[in-house]
Amino acid sequence: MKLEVGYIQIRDIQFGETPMVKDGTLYVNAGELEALVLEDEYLAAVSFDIARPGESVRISPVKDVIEPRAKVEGSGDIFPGVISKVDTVGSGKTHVLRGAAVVTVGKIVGFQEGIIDMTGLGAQYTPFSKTVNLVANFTPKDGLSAHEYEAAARKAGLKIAYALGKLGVDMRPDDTKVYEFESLVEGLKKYPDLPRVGYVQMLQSQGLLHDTYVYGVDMKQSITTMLSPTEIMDGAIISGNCVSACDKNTTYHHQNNPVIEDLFSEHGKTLNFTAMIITNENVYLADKIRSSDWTAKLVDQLDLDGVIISQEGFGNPDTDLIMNCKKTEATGTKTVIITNEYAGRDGTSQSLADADPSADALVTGGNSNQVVTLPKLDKVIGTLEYTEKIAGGFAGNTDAQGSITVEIQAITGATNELGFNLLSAR
Amino acid sequence: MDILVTNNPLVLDRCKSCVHIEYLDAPLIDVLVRVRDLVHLGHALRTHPLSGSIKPNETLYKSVLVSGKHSHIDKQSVHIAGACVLKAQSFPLRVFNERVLYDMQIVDLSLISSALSSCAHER
Amino acid sequence: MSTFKVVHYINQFYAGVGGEEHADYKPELRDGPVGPGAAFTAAFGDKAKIIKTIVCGDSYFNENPDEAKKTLIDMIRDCGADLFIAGPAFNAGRYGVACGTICAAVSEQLGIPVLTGMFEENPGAEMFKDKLHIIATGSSATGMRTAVPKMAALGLKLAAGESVGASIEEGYLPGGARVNFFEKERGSKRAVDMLLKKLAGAPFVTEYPMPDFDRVAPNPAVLDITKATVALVTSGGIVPKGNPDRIESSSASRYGEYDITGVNDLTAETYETAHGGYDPVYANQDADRVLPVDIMRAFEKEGKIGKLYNKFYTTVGNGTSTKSSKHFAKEFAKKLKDDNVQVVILTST
Repeated sequence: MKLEVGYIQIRDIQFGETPMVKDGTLYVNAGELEALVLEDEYLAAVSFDIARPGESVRISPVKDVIEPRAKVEGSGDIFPGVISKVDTVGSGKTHVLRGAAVVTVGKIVGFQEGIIDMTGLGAQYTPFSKTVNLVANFTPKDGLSAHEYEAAARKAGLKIAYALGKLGVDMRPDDTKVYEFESLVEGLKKYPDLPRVGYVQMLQSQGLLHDTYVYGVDMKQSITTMLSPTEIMDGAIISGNCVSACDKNTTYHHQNNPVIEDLFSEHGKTLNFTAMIITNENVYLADKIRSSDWTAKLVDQLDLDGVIISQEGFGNPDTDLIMNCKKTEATGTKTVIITNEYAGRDGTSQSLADADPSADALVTGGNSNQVVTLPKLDKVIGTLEYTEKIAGGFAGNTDAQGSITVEIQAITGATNELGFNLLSAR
Repeated sequence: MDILVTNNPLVLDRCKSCVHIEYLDAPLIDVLVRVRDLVHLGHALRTHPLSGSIKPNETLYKSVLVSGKHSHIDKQSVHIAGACVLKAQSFPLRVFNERVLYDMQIVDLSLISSALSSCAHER
Repeated sequence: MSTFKVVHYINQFYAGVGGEEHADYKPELRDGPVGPGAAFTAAFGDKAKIIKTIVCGDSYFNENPDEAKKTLIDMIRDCGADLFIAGPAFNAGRYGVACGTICAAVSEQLGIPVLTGMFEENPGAEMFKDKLHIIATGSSATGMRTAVPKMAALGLKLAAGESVGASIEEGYLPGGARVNFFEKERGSKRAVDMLLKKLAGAPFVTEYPMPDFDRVAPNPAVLDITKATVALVTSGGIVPKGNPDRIESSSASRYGEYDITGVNDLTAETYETAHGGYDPVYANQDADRVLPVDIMRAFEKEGKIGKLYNKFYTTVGNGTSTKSSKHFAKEFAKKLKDDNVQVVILTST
């Protein structure tokens, strides 16, 4: 599969009458977007805000972050099986409004989390302090269950991003990249001497606030499978994951999966990026065993020389990670894993909930329990009502000056396990 | 016969007709310790005790499914159940507002339901 | 800006007193920098100054740890130091243990920031790396030139109460707390680079070493213990009175092999413990409490066991590295096997 991705650089977002992209500014019509969102019978209201890098703004509780993209050529459309109809994506041409993001905010459950600070210390820990964000803050209809609200908010965010992405269809990209993912035989012929490398991406799949969808399929009902990494760039994987702000993969993370990008940049030079495998992280132990068996089986049958395995979430996925690692290493495939740590506030607790000697090559996104004090910012989008309840917050964590003390696990994307960030630990 | 160890009243209410429940009116850590003890007695883990990404000190509720008692001890279960107790103990305790309790129950119910449905397919 | 006051601890060798023959040199407080202190003085510039140097023999310190610690703490207490530096000890084992011990004591009892430097395989490193900042050095004094600037830089930070970066940034041995820091490349790129190295068979460094998995699978059960020869082995330091082989009270570098043919009971007159890590009173009163020869003899008589092996092996577990322990066990396990011992009872403290 061959996908040409054209990047249209966005430097600002403004509200305006006519939605368009002009001279690096994305103009959005809030009224039109509101009408689009309220097509959903479950949502009572939505308000829009813009948060720019460097502004004294705090966004919380963040549900998802999505990058506006549009299909320009090739089969299928962005977010297949969810927003557009089911059809294979990942080839042809896609345009990206780079530098812009849709951030959805909404209190789905009372202890939800996710802080994005656009300036100050907190901004260093989240990648979304560097994007211009259109923030959509949802209010559900009364009596809505958490499940219904989560689904409605998830879809509304994707719809907004989809609509904005369309504004870039006829634009001339500032920059273009071509990603070519060969078939097995093609790749082998083209790069006979390069090590054949795969990427195993583990997807959170456990229930409310913990789900991931692939072409609209709830990943917990899937066995380990394969797809082309270019499909993921077109929104084949979307996040329904609201918990553990620091290490959940937002839809933006999936669209811009850094492992895929970094494997592509070595593809044909030092390695042959041969396979993209996705597997789940279920609660049920037999599922964990089955899924990791399938991971190892695919890796073995594809004769891969090496794999990178990335994790998502806290706790039980450590068990999936270690099972995957142990089993792929046992097939003789050199394995590197990416995870993060919960080593306690003082950094002295055991970092992972599971471990194995085969996991001898590990990249860490840092200790999520590290405590930071975030200064009071002028404007809050959403609410700080729940900061004490969110992951990493604690009672009495707001002082008289309005600064809040939290563990970095409260910050969206802080210790991401796709290796999205520079943060690490020793 | 499987046993669902839980301290979540909502799980007790919703699941009691379909699975045998051992209900503990106790903190979350007690559920994990009880599960560990059962595993040492020959019950195997069916679900991971640290289900979900919600940290053990961010919710008050936990539901874990274990198998009936076997004549042998399942080594993997012993390993996981022990590690989970240790991991949970490393998180400092927190106090919660009444308003969030129901949400916590709902999420725990959803997590264990996803396992019960996997379990139903298996049979 | 004020200049930080530093107290520096070195051994008799670095003070120019002499080598092993002078290792019993008693603690001595000198004014100003001595030996490697000159290099620290140069590295500190005007930011810090070594006001006092303490010289102490390695044997003296290790053989009289309590007395040495007390004397040194008293000396340091009155100096008004902002920072205490020991060593660097490189790969000198007893010097390393002394540096670690005194740093830990100064930190705990006087609340002064402390710092030392060692080679990673120094037994002192294993004992103290999770309690102290120990700058990683080369194995010998030729590493002084690279060790001192790192120690000086971290020392100044500690004295100023500034936050300390991750081990990889500051150059100290990892082992204690995990510390976050920002890498130069993002995680995914680091993973790809690590995989390429692993694929090429080239050395790579994991960012989180797995916890030690030195697990030993238990042997199958002994079928008939009434016919088996049973040996006693201990890390509790039980030795014949007078400690003839001079097994160290901590970080043991050797083990003992002692014949107990005809010995039915260990008494206060005949046996004692060399262990420095627990209150020795009860073990010295009756060493059977740690090495149960009396009970084993009774079992032997009653036919509950075949017989008690006529030797026991002993060492001090206190701070002894797993590497040394493994080495000891490898040697005596072979002897036990050659002598057809089927059961070993290993007692600790």
